[in-house]
Amino acid sequence: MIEVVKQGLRSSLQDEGRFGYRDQGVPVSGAMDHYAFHLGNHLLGNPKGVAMIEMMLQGPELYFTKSTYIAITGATFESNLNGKKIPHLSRVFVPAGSNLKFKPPKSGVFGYIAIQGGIKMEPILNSLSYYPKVADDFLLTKGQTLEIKQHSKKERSNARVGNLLEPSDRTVDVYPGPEFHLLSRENQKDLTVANFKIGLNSSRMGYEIEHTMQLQAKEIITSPVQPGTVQLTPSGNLICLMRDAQTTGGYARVFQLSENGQK
Amino acid sequence: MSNHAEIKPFGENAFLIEWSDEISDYNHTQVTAINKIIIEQFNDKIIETTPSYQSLAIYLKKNIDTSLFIKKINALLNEAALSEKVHSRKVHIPVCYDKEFGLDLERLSEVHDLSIKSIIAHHTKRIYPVYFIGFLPGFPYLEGLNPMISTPRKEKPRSVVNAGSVGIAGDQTGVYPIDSPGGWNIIGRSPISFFDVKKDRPSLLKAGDRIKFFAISIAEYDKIKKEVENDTYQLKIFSQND
Repeated sequence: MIEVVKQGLRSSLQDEGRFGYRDQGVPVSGAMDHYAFHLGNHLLGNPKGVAMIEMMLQGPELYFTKSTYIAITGATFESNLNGKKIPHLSRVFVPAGSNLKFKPPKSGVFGYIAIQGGIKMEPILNSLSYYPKVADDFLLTKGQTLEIKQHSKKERSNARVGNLLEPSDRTVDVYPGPEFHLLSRENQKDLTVANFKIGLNSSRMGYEIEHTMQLQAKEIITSPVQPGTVQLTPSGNLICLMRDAQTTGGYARVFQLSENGQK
Repeated sequence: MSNHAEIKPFGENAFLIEWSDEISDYNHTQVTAINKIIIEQFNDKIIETTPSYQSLAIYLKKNIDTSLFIKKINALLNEAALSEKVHSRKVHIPVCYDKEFGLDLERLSEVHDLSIKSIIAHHTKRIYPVYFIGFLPGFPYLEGLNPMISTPRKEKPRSVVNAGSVGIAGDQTGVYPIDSPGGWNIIGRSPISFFDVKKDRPSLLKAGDRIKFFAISIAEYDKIKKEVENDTYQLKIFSQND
């Protein structure tokens, strides 16, 4: 079992997402960084898509009553097991009675604690992803205990990964969104060559994209949106919708990020 | 027959079918009918669909060739005779318009120079079609509010609007299915549950439904609320021809 000693900043369980309910207004949710998520399971020999703990800027403190293996991926949190630093992106043995703590990441926002076998909990609408008011059980809370699932002995892993340092200057592939053609020629050109910075007003729902351009677009009739949709508001704000985005929205959709761009 | 629909790409594994840029019964009927056909015929190829006023998003499974699939849908849009009536339910929703729940009723009464009684009468008289579910889990986009009681959103949104609250925003009326911050003018509350993850289909309402509100007293509200909690409340649902 794993006891949640401190919950950190909105640490939650996440898997690949909750599908099949978008026509009922239920967002997809799931891990913010799918690349790091899949890496975690791969390192431990877990089946693809096994839920793990996602931490955001400030990690939780966990106490393991049972021995297991874990892997820390995503943002470069400093991870301490019983007071000793453990490596990032590696399969690490956790003896029974261990305490796991984190210091904020040097780079990145979302980190992952993958656990060999995964967590044993009853899915809500076919998923172990936290989303407020729909699946509150999956938000880590102080004092909560998480049961570790038995790991299938067949699935051993010797997986190793190199040191993945992601540069801060990155190009993201995008497709033109449904309303891209409605923008002025200047706006279309500006948007495709500019450099953007992610703003502070960002969450699992969406990232604010900082820019200094003169952009504008009319509101649209409320229409479907998805993770990776970049919206432009009438006042010129750019918002990139993320995993917890609503299923429909009323702002012009200027870009759709490629699947790789969302990782 | 041509349905004047246009197909637009929406990233690599999704596309949109869009009708004319307006909110209308015609567009709603088209969206609902094509949505039903696609779900029935291509269930093995799609993850899910999301209908809205005049647009339908189709989310495809990863191994499906999007452009090939779009060709099939184009053929379908050209051939399909959408004479098939989509089954529609009429759902009767109890609402308590008492001041305890109708937090903005008095202000609306002043703004519109109408008695609270006649605001309630206007709200309960009409049958509202559910165009689609969005914004919040289980939230119905309803059409057809009487313009006499249409009211702009509150300048300062409430930090919590309770689940079941019935409100007005601009020329729309709607129900909050879960607790949420919100700027709608609240005129009453329904004791029934609009979104429940313990149900196979968590959202009570779906695109294509029609709903009618009827007024109940606080005593009836409490009684129905208890019945809903014990799962003994029988919601009045009528099929199309009733």
